Amino acid sequence: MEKREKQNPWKRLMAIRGMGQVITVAIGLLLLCIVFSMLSSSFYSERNVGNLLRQIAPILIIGIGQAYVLITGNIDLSIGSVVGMSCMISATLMTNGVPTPAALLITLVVCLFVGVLNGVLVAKWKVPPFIATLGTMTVARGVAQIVNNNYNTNAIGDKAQWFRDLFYYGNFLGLYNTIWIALVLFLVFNFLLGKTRTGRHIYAVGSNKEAAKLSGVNTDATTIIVYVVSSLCACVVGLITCAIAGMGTMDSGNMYEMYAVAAAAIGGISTFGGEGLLVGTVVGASIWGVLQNGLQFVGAPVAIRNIVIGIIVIVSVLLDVIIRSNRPRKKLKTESAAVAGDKVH
Amino acid sequence: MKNEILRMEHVTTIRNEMTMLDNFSIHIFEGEIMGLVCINENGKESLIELISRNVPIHYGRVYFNESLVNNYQHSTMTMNKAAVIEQKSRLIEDLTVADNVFVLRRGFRKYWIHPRVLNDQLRRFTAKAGISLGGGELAADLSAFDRCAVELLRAVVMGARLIVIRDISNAVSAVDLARFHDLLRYYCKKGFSFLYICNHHEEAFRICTRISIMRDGKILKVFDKPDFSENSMAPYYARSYADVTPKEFPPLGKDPVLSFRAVSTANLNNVDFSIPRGQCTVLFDTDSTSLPDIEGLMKGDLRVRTGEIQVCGKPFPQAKARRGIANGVVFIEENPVQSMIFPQLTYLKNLCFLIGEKKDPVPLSRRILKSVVQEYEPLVGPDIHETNLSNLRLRSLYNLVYCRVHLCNPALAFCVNPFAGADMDLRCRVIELIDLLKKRGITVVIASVNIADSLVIADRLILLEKGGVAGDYPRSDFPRLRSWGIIPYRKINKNK
Repeated sequence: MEKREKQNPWKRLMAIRGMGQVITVAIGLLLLCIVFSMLSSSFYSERNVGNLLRQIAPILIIGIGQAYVLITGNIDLSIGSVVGMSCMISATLMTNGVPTPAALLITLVVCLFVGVLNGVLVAKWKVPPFIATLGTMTVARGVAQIVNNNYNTNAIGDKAQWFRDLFYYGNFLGLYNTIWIALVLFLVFNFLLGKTRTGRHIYAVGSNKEAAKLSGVNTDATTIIVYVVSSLCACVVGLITCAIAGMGTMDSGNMYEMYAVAAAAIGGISTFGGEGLLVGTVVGASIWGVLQNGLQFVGAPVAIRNIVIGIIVIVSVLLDVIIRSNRPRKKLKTESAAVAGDKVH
Repeated sequence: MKNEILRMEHVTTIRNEMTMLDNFSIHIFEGEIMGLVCINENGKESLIELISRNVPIHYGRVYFNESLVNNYQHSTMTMNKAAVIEQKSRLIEDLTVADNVFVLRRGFRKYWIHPRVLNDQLRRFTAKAGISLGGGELAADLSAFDRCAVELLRAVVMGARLIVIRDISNAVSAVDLARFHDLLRYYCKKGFSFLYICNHHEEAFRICTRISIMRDGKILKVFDKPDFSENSMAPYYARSYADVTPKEFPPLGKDPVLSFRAVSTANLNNVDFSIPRGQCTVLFDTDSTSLPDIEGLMKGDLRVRTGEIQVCGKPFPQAKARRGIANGVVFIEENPVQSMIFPQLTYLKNLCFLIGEKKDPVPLSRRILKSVVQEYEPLVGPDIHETNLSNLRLRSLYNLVYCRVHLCNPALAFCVNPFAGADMDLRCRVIELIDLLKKRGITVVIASVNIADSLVIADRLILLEKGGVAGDYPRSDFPRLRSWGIIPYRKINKNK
């Protein structure tokens, strides 16, 4: 036991379950960056790196939300529609003269309501998460469309310029605010997942729901919490898209549920639940961003980009399946066997 | 005077119009290991539920820690300070030992988790109890014994006044069972109380201070330690192994059906044995290291590192093992009712399922089905016409599983812990069913971590230890082994 305590930091790092996959994917990311920088000299330009990071940030944020849900063994398909709903509600309110802070607050409340609804449907009423969130996905998209009578909104105007700066255009210490928002959310939710009782409960529910229940974990509350986190992240991304466009667009957040799952799955979040590190989602979102950006630089058509990302998602999930099936079933307790042997002879 | 931790007075519980506990009375003192030997399964589940939680009862009173917590007039539905340790682990595999022991328990108040602090706390507990466990180890990586030890530690940490140990010998090997008993004795001295539920009185004799015999949810008798003897227990069994032990063991064929030739894997080291046609062999794994690999090899989940496996004289590589039925090998899994029956199919379709999977599948024409009914109705009774399997009793479902193999007529039937979780009556039936397979000439291998029941039907015992063959005993040696009880290996080695 003492030997285990004195392991070097690298071994300790690798002992964390899921870290191996994160490091593998991180090496993949590094290789991608090297390849793209060789193919295009402007890939590493200061401007492109800034844009790339800003491009990655929204994917990272929804990836975090989806990662929370995936770790509990569920899925949130409504995340993209909530992005659209958040964008449309905030923009509509702002263009109709509602003060920006109030508009943001109302948007947040509505999005969190969708999260609670998802959680209640899945946890309390036992609706399969795929179906429950498919339903709320359609509802949320419908709300996004109906909120401004099936039209995109007008420009949100100069009064809301501070909002646009806060969420997208502004920068602090040389980094765009979008990146700062993603960073803060990552730090907060990573801490919540890794260092708190709630985090342990989230892993427990995903790993063995029945055992978690018997251990006194409120599995329903935990499930609701992860869906609320997911909706909160989607809400923030909706606000970012609104800030980018300066208006509400009904189809914003389209396909984001796919990007979210991709970011989480590529980063080693197990789609079976109970396993995964949030830092993996950072790597997953980065791979997604680098691929999008890099393939654009080398002139690959959108179709090729989608195919490449799709293949990477499948390979990541396949890797997870292979790792799980090859995991040693039981530790051979040579020590205990030796003790027993001593007793025997 | 000792505190009374649990007192149940004349408790009767009725679920779905069936009496589960019938005028059930028991009392357990502080620092006592009370045994509960169940002649049949009836009432066991209800009792455990009632100890854990104050669910409504039909009649009687329940006192926990000397206060009335449940009676026929009012049930609070609250949880008692009791923990249950059973074969089905309640640990969260993806979390560490420290998290499982400290964080995932009722009453853990801290919100911020400090792994180092938790590991230090755990070290103090494990050092006192003499367990070698690291707080940072993942629960998924633990051996069966370590899992039980962690569950016990968790129960101790959460302050459980009563810990129910249920059929634990199904989960841990004989060596580990002895170690686990030592742990129970340690915590018993510390004032913790245990209800040790098992199906074998021999097992209860070793660890318990008193033993209650339960049948059909009713306590028949309570024995104090001086009364622990085979003779005192005999009247309480409706059937005994003497009733089902085959009268004659037919001579065996000479050609080997299953051969392991110097087989090595991660946990096996040069395992070498050969099982002739028609023989029933028990593979008894004393330390739970060899059997998982042997099962993995036979199912095709694992690949042989060195050596060779042969079935019916032909090599049995991983690809063939994956299509075991087509190559003459059929598995009967542990708890086969859960794992081997298709509840949506009729009895007859379940019965005929394997013959459609054989190398030369038999087309299930109406004539064939009629013939199957004619052949098996005398064995299984009118159940063969049942279309809804949920109407059948456990015994009938066991009949179905074994008769399906009988009908398939493979060269080798590999049974994994066939007696796990079965009551005395069902164990007797399983022995009869295995005998049925033997009479058909099917070679039977029983993979087990507990040989108490398997020796009744076996022709041979192969002892596996530390990944190798430690002993090979013919049936003529069994009386000697049985007299040593369920942990024969110590005395075997001493006498060698």
